Amino acid sequence: MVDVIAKRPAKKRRRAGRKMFSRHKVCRFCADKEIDIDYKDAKTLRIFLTERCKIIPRRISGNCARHQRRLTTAIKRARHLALVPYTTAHV
Amino acid sequence: MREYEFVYVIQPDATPEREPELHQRIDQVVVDQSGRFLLRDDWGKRRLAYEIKKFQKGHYFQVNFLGSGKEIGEIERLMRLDADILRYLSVLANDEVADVETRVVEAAKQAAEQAQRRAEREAERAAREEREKERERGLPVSDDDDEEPRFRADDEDEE
Repeated sequence: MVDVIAKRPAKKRRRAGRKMFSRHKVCRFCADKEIDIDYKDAKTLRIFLTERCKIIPRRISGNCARHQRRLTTAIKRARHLALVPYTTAHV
Repeated sequence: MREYEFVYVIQPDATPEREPELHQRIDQVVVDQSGRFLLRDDWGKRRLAYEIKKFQKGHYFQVNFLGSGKEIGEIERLMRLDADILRYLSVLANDEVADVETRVVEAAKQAAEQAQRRAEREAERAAREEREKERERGLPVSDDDDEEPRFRADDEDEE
């Protein structure tokens, strides 16, 4: 089942002349049990923010649901304490 | 008992007496509600990610304590009333600390480690500043040498 679904768009895309990106994404926090999500650790949280300081969605970062949930609360806590910006400075 | 983590940001230009006074007030609440103080960590003066009350920097402190939960309301009330507090955040760190005494001992160890790390960071920063100062002392001479001929060339072009 999974194979069929995965293959079909690949064929279509190839015909359209586009490359298909099927990079396997793994949740970073599942892969490396050592790093825990901490609102005090601004450096790690920054990895999961765009240049505009928006939280990077799960479909892009590849985080699992559980860790993404923890990450968002951590980022929001850090934002409140001004460890991480809500947005870039607007001039 | 529950373990709470409380972070607060004091404005950078507060008078030197203010900081210990605020620490003391928080600790007093914990003691009054028969909680246990665990540790206090000084994160130092950090740059704020955005301006708060026109301040660019803030002095961050973290305090951990064991308690029932009644302390939080009172501490937050104190923080709200104080104009020198820019931000505060209370987080439940552990819902059920079964063995209070071991946690107290552990926390003391943690605090010692943090103090050591802080000292190291401080030493590193002092060393870096020293190096920068030295570089500054060395640079101006070479900078002038580089720039002066170029300016002269520009002037000639214009004339």
